[in-house]
Amino acid sequence: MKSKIAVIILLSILVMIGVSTWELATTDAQGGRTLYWGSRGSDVSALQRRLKQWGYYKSAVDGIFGASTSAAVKLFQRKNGLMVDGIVGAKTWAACGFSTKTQRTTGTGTKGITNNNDLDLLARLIHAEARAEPYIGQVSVGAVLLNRVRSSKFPNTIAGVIYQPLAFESVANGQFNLSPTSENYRSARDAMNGWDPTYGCTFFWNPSKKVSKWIWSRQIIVKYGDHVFGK
Amino acid sequence: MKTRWIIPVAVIALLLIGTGIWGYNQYKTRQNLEIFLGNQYKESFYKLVDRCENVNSFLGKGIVANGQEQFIRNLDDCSAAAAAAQEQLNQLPISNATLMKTSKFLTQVGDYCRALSKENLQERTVTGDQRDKLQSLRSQCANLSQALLDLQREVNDGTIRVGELIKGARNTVDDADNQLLSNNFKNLVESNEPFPTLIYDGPFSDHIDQQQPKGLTGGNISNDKGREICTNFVEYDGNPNLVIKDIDNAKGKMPAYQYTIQPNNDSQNHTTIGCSKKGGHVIWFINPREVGDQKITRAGAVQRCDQFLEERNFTDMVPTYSWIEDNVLTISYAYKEDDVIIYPDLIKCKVAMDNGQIVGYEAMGYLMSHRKRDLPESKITESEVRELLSERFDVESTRLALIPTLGLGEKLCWEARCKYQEETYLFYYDVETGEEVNILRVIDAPNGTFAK
Repeated sequence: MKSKIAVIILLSILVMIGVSTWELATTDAQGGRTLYWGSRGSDVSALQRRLKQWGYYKSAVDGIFGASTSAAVKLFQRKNGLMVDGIVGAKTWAACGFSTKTQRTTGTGTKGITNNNDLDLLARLIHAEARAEPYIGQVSVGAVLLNRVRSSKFPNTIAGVIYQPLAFESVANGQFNLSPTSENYRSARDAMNGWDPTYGCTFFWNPSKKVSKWIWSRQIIVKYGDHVFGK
Repeated sequence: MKTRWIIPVAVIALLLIGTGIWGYNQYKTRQNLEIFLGNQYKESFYKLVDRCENVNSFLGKGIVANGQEQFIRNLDDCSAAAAAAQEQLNQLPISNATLMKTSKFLTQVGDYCRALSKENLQERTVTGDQRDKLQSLRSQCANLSQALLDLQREVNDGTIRVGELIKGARNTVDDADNQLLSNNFKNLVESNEPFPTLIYDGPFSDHIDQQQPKGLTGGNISNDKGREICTNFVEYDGNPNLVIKDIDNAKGKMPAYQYTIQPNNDSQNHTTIGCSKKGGHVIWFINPREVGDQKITRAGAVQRCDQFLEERNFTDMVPTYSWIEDNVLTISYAYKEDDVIIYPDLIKCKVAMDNGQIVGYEAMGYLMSHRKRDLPESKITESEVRELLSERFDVESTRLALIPTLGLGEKLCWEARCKYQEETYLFYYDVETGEEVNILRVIDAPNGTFAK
């Protein structure tokens, strides 16, 4: 009887702790969530895209961790001296070039041409908004941000544009605070150095997601990966 | 036996009380945060209203000012107040779709005042037309102030609640705005009555958006031709078999065919490239491969890049600044006509320092501005410039340079490179008037040199 009560109390406490930390856990997990057979999501797409780029994965990038993805992961693990279990944990993520929570990437140490704070902010936004996108899509998101800084219609600093209320969903929900990868830094730098694959756009959105109707009144210039870019 | 049920009930009651306390604390915390946030927004709001009224009043004083000094001072103050107002406006929890027009208006008011004050700095030349512009800006500004005051009243009497605005952010933004914003404010930002069009020599003048590319020579080309041009433009060692794919074309002012190109045995080494439909000029490419340790020298890399451009018929480009990041050297080139550096005609290249491959190219600046120019005769001689500067500085070199002005104009100047104590500065003197147009500081960082 006593043990029963103890179990009930314990369970209730666990539930309460669970509820209070659930919010935290769900926002944090995206950085380096462990993926296995059955996982779905944009991080799976990112993994598939990377494995495809490196020639391990041959099927379509569909965001679903199935038989072919599992086989590709195992092949990748075998070739890279990792434990061959078909599960994508911290080590496999790292070997794929993505950062995880345990392995924080900070500034890359290059100084000079641009303010490093700005580069850091830019890389973070690219990570938060476009980490599953191809490289050009990442440079494009960076370019949109810099085009906004130059535009009369938006704040005129990088921090101002990023933290403008309601401007970026990833800033509102905390995704923005995740650590960028070295790829995000490289694309941020290309954008800073003046490469603009969007030809001057100040908006981007994912047409397959729920977006405001207003955004479709913009002139669409180009599409890379899942994002369309417009003026 | 009878007391048995008491224990679980007590436990559940305790749990409920615990949950209640916890929930109440959560509620209090949330409420405090909401109030805190609401206060921040209200502060921005009050500041915005205040700044707008300042803009209004400085504009008024500028218009009526008789003396030169008051005219300039009020315009300058107005431009500072407008910049501050724009900053506060963009702090409001309202979507930028709604704010864009007003934001642009405030930026332009400030920019126009600055341009006008600069133009009249030496001598008062303000025209009746310019004064009318100021007057119409002022009445627009008064409308804005009125709409803001109405909005402020609704925030204060609780018609608009900040918490709802924040909640709105998570749903579709424009719907939330529509329900919550005051009618006056909405009418103002959505009104069809346009803010006045302003053309002047400043970075936010209306003519900037309407600028058309000047460097796109030649007729329209086919997609097949574009593919051929792009394939020949990129460089891969040892002529590998290239796999070329069409990707989404770019629309807009400079319509472009775009492709990805990669050797069939090396998918890491892939390039994305765009070339203009008109004339088939390559606009940009990026090859994002990771670059290994530096094996070639900086001078060697610049030489490789010179050669790359020459082979693509850019024979008059000279390197100006360069910097290294992640083993990639980015070099900024400017066009040179006779002995004049033409800075607006800008091309940037990236050289991989592991094998000298060109991994990036960007010619938007060149294609927007390059054309045959008629440069003015220099009325001021090189020795005059040197003489002027040598009193205070060591003049290292002088040359003629065409530099861009804020409003996309161009000015032919003498560029003088001078040492002042340990620092290097670049001075620019208008060849026609002798006016000191700009000063740049040359920064020698460990990874490269550039001017600011």
